[in-house]
Amino acid sequence: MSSKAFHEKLEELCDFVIEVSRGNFTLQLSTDNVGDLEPLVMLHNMMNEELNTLVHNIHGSKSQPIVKSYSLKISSTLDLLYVSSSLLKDLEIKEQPANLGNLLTAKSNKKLLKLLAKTDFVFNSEKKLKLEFKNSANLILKTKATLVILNDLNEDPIIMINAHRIIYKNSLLDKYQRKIEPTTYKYPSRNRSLLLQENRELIENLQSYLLKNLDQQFPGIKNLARKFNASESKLKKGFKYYYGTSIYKFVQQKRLEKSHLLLTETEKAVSTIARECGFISAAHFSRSFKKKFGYRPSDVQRKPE
Amino acid sequence: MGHKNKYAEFWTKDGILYFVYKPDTVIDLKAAKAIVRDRIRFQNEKVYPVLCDMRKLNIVEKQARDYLAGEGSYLAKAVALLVNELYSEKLSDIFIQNSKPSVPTRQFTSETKAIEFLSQY
Repeated sequence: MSSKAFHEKLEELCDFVIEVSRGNFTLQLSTDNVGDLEPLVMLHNMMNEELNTLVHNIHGSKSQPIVKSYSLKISSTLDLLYVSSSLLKDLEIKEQPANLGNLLTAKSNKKLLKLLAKTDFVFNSEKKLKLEFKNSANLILKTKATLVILNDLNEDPIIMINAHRIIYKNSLLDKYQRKIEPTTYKYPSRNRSLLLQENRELIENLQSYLLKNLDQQFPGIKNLARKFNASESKLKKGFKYYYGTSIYKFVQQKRLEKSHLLLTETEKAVSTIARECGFISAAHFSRSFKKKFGYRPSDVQRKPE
Repeated sequence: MGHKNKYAEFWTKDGILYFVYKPDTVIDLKAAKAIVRDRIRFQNEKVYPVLCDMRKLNIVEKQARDYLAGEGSYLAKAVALLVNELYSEKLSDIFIQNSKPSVPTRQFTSETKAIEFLSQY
């Protein structure tokens, strides 16, 4: 890695740290040409993902997933005919560049050109691919995109790109990013103690315990409270706060997901799967399964021979 | 007889399921689901201790890490993560500490020690 490339990457790393410290968890560092900095770059990306999850779990009631969409129109040589202002804003780019290549990472640019080279350009045909955009500091914004051909072979092809990504929108974080004065910032008075690290760890340990014991009969909130040395209401409130569902519903959901996987991918008897997923009887399993998926366990196509 | 998919190769030997990620593999949620599905299908009904060689693994996204820690532990008695250089070691640290796998999971740099750990299960 040349000294120049090293310094450029170091600058990207610094910009990335600044973005994260501003509460922007939606960007990633590129892992291309990172040389010896690879472990550090990858760990920064992971730290970003973990912080994102942590922030949105802690302020679960203020966070919700939203889909951000971007539209672009390009020619077959990637000339940029239109780009939605929201994309330019998220990339912190002021002027629309002439070519899409200037907005994409080298990897994505190559992938897109390769895809277009083998496209027949049939009207209204669709292609799907992952596109990575880069912002002015070379940080990456990952999207899933659909390419739609807008005109037929007789004309110069125009391609519509609809890219989207799912992000967590958090009203508290938005206020923080808009630099609203601390006097207008309202710290949650209700459930405030739930934000303490020890309580978060308690709820995480409870979730971990529940996942490890899916095959056991549900012990009841009272016994869980005794096991974790906490009040029933603290466990119930805390769990709902962090995971957005009740303890019982979470266990039921995970049991049903596990049973579905075992039904489709193994040859185990339905009654064995029912038992291994903590259902008291095959009938109970069948009822719960139908309620969740709309069909009975016996209707699931079993593992092909 | 083993099995191979786009992301990994796996086989059983002496009661242990060996699971080796292919070089430079990137695991997102879709890939994690395919990996778990194929592994469970391969194991059929048997539960194994798993030796997971992640030395050549590149990126595992957060959603995939959490999925592998939960659903990824089905039909696994315990997991030994085989790591080597700095990155794969740190990746497994984050996986164990943050995603909290639901079966006993430890990291090793030595395959012999990893097998020793798994032989308890």
